[in-house]
Amino acid sequence: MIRIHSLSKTFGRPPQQVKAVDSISFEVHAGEVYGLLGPNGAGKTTILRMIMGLHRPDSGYAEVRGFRSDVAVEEIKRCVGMVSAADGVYPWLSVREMLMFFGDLYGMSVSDARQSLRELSDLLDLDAILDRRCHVLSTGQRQRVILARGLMHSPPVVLLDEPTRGLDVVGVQVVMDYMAHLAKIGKSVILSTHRLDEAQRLCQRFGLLHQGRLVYEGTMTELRKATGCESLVEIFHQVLLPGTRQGD
Amino acid sequence: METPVGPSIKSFAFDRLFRLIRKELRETLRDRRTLVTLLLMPVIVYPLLGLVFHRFLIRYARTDKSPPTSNWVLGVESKEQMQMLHSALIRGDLLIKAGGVPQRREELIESASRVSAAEYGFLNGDRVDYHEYGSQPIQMVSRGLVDAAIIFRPSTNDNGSGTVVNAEILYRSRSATSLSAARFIEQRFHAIDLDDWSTRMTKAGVSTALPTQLTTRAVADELSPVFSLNSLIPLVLILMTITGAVYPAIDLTAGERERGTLESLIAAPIPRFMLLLSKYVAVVTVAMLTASVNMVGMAITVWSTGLTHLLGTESTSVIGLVTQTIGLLVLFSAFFSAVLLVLTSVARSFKEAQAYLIPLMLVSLAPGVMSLVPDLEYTPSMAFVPVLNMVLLARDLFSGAAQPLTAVLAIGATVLYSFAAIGLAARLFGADAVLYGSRGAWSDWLRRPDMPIQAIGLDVAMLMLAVLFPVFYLTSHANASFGANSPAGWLLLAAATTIVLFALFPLAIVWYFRVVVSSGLGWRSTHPAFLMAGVILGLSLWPVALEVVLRTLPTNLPEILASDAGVWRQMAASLEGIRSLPIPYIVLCLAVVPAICEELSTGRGVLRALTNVTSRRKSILASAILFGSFHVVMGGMLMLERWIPSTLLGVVLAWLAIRSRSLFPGILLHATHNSLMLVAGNNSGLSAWNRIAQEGHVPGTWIGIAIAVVTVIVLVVEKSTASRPR
Repeated sequence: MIRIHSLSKTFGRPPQQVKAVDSISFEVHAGEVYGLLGPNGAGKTTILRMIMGLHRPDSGYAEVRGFRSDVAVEEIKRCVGMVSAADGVYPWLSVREMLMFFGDLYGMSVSDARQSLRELSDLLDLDAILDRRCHVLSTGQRQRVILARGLMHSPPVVLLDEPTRGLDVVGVQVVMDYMAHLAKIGKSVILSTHRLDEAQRLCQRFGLLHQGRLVYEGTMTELRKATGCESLVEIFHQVLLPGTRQGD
Repeated sequence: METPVGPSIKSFAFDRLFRLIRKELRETLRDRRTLVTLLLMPVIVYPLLGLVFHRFLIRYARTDKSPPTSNWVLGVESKEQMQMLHSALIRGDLLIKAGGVPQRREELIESASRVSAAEYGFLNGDRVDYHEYGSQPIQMVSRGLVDAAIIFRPSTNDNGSGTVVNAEILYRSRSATSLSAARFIEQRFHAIDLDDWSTRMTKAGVSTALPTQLTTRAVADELSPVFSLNSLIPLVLILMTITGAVYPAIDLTAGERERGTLESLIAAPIPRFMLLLSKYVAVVTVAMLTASVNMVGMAITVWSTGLTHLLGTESTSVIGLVTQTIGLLVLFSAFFSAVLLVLTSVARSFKEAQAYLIPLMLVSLAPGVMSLVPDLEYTPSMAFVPVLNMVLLARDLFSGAAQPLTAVLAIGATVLYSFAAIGLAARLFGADAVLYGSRGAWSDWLRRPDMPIQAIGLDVAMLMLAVLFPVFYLTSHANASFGANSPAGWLLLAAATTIVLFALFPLAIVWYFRVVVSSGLGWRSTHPAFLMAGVILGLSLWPVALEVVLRTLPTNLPEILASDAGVWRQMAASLEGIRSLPIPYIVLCLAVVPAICEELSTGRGVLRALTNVTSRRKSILASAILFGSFHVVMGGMLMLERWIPSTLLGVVLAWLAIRSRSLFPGILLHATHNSLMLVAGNNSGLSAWNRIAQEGHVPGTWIGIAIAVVTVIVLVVEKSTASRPR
């Protein structure tokens, strides 16, 4: 469903040049949740943006459902839903108006958009806030609205960038449940997060990024075998501080 | 490759666009800050400004209406008339001083006779000096060289009772000093009249006629023109539309980034031009609303402070005034909203967007002030200067001096500039540099694609047209002045200009943006049947096109031509000169070269850019309108009657280009059509052509045959290409 071919991206000019992504390749299959893990500045968000065609890679390309990001960006946009914790909302629109607006942006008919809104509203518990203006929403409510916004057009591929940032326990649970639901109904999901516990619970495979490079990639079992560590936290620690183990 | 999810949004659906506009308007109008901008000025600022302005004007008026000076300069034709007038004024003054008391009158005459006329002291200590005006009394008064002038007409007889002195007093309108000088003369002559009348009546009333027939006439005041609010209207329109558009423009562009919604917008598969167009319509609407509310506020302020006389408009109709104002509001709002969107699209924050406003204000106000410059002539070339063209149009409209040529050019140029600006904004909005704060933004627009693209973007196409239109007009105008001297050189120059503007320039753009010429320009072979269809259509369309031209020619054409005699005479001389040239040379320069070049640029290049964002039907229509609009300019003249036939031809050309997917059938159609018209027009021996010229109409059977042939060709082409995938 998603194939990443040697993606590279550099920001800035010498001497401040930063290699944000360095020749990264991986695949995500249908019905799979892929965890893109790494510390701040590892290049997670840049990879997601390159998949969407929002950043032009210096080399390499992403392929989504057979469409190459350097050739058919519009087609990729149509089959991908992207949700980021940094996304905002339109303060003066109601939740319903905003979601219907995004339905329009994705070329949905009004009836299809209404149907999608009803389904998402049930799944994400939005009924009570549908007619509230977005500027009065709490952080958790806003995050759920943003999640719904990225999924209005029922994309087969979902890119989630820190979707639980700033959420309380209940809010995190709602989002996690929904991600599990997405995988269950056959969507390909890439989850970029710092929350290793969540990732371990949800993801079938992982890619560990450090300084723009994919350090480890595979299932939990494969990672354990490769690193000799038990948990993602330990693996992470080994990647960030080589030669030490958690608890040393 | 799998099928993407969801429908394509390539088609420019109006219902979707309407919903997008509605969202932008909701977002903007619900924001209290917009409401403050919308209402604060008219409700608070205008009444305050009105009061201040009123005080200023009262002060200004008082200066002009200060107590009449007691020393007037009066204009007379000659020294003899000066003596006659002075004597009459002294007599009249004595009569006024006497107040109708005979005894007092005798005493005063007696005392006056003891001093010379030059030393006579008028009532209230007033004094008069005289100045000879020669043959220009009106100019002398208008320019303030004399306060008032008197023109004596030949005297007439009054049934034997005596002669009647006929005279006219001239004074400057709007000058209290000049008016008081006129009153001074008038009162004294009136006193003489009454005295004579009274004397006659006393002598048994032999005659009832007055001995003096005196009239007064106001002439234009060139010395101290009174301030008119009209001259400020263009400035006010600039300020109002910028003020109204600025907040929504920032909010709907830079604001998207600040609130974190920009990335999700750019991640949606909607054409950015459509996105920007919806924002543009919203900004124009708010700018119009703000400006309208401001206008109403201003009107109420002007009316309530009693300043309506300062409007001094030539348009006496309120409906006309309102229509003009609304039209200008649309034009100003359309332009400034587009420019603001360009600036704010590149801004990364509210603060940065606001920083761009000061230069915009300064750049816009400079031409705005030009409306205050007296006697500034509005030439057609000025109609292509952004802002200045609208400012001068507003000035001329309100003074009733607007010319159709400059008005049409100004509106056309402004619309084109606005669309080009939206295209540019669409390219800049959400660019990598704006979205993520990396380097670039402006340079992103000029960035050469890494890989070949199938067609030029609509934004680039619009900018190309925005450059082409004024340059084409100006070069066409310059070439026309060359034509009368050397017709052969003129044609060569016209052909060279066409090649540079409509072929080399678009080809340079195509090369720079790595456009694939086969798809972007239709430079590819096609089935011979399409080429044949092009030739047949080129041979068949002329009766319809000619009939449309003949029917749309204005009935007062001679008067119109006479009013623009200079350019027309030049053009007629050039055309007459062309007749002496070899026909192949004429056809090459005026038919073949334009056909190839125009099909390259507006014909196929722009059409392909349009089909990228909208349906084929709408693309054909838009491309045809552009084609027609370019053809109304000929030799620096505006020939509006060419618009309809050229647009119709543009429809057929665009349709054929889309059906054949090639440039060449259109070139053949265009060249054949032009050549046929030129050959026929240059051959005075053609009896059929002469008959059309005499009757003023193309015979109905010819039109019928032409329509039948065109219909058959269209049906055959449509049927043969119906199964082709779109």
